[in-house]
Amino acid sequence: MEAVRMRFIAEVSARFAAARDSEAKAELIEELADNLVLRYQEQLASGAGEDEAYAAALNGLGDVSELISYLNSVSAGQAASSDPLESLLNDLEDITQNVFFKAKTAIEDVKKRLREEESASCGAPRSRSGGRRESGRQASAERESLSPELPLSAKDLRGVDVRIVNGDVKLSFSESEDGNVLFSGNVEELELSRTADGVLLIRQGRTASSSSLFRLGLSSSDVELCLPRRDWEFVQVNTANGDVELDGRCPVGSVSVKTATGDICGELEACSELTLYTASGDVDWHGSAGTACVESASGDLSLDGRFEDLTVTTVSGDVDLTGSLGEAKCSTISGELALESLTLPRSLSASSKSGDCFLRLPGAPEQPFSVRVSTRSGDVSSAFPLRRAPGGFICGQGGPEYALSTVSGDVQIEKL
Amino acid sequence: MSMTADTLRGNTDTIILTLLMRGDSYGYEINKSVQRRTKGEYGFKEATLYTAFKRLEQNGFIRSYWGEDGPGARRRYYSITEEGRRQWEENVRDWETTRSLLDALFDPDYDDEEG
Repeated sequence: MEAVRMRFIAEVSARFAAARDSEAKAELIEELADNLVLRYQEQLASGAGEDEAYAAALNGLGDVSELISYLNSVSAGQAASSDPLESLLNDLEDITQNVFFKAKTAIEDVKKRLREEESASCGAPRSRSGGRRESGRQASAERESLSPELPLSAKDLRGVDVRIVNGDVKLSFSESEDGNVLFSGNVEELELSRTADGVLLIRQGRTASSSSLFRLGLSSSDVELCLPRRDWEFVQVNTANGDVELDGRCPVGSVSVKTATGDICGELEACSELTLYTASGDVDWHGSAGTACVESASGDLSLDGRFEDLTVTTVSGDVDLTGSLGEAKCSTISGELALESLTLPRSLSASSKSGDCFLRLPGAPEQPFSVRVSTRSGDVSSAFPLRRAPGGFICGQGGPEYALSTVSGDVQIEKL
Repeated sequence: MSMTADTLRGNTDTIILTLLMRGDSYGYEINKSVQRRTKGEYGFKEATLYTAFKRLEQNGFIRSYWGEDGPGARRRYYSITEEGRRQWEENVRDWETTRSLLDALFDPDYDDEEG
């Protein structure tokens, strides 16, 4: 039922997009969404199907324009407010809107790009086997069609771009540093090509008609890919419906994985840029990254590694972060935050609306640090010296000041 | 039904005040009470209900507070104020006057000479 509640929150938030962000707005959205959940349950109890119940409940919302006017009048009167917890609620509400907006656009983005590519290639004649003929090179002067059944040398490749609609993607690295790219899984469903500047493109659907089947969700195939273990400039995977797994002790410059409904798991030696996004799946990642951005609407996020600059965002999922942190910013609305760093971060902020927050730091740090804790109704405990301060508590003294904020969750700071 | 719906909608504030006269309640429950009293013929849209809540609250006729409703759950309750009770009495008097006027105006057999 939590997923339905989050759907209603996203929908109601979208209807209130014209209202200025405020605590009153956040509370009203929560209240209306909760009522819609009750209406939804009532519909289900009376025998309606899930989709029918959702539509009927949402219909009960009505025209919110007067409420938007009210909220804007209230927020105009409170513009000078400087309550840090109110700011936290505003920030968290922004997160909710942003994450759900991305969730909504993730599938549309993949489908749109596939449509564009399909449209661009529909004029090119195709061979009987479905692949483009050599004569189609006027359309592929910058892109050479490849066969997944034939050996493909990785020598001139610098990156991989996988974009599929339905199916899981598994990408691994072989022990050899040179050699071929190996394909497995439903290779007969793949359309492969290589750009002039060394990018391997992998798409679903070798013919226009099969592409349409994938796009309409009527067909699904998994993609398995094994690359030689050497420096890769980038790996990019986009899938609308499917899990993504990356595995291998191999350095990659930039890694970007986006899936609308699947889980993401991976273990990579290192990458300079890491972007992981899933709307409803979980993320389980091991490895180090320079700049990392990890987001999920409702999934749990588990990260283990050394992260120089990390941003983690989820709406209802938990965050479990272990390793060594440089700069880190973690946010969740209703999930639990468990953060553990073997070294003192340069900066750290973590916020949750209703979830608890656990922070574990070195017990005998080489330099001083402090943690500012803000909570409205949660309990605060710390293995480090703790004292009251305006707006909450301060733990430790001097050095970089970390920030932990919750509205109703508990905060616990422990020593490693 | 459109006249009925318009009439009911025009008396949203009084309907809410009436239901809160029986005790504190929350949005969904108030709407359920409306549906029960009208035997399912009428219910508020959420937006209509909450616009009225905000209006009544701004006028000091009701107040609201967050109440716990089971572990981890919270719910905003509404209660009527003394000023709200006075307003309700005034609204009911106004309605009775209006109803008697409409009864007279809607009566084709009304004796104009006697009136």
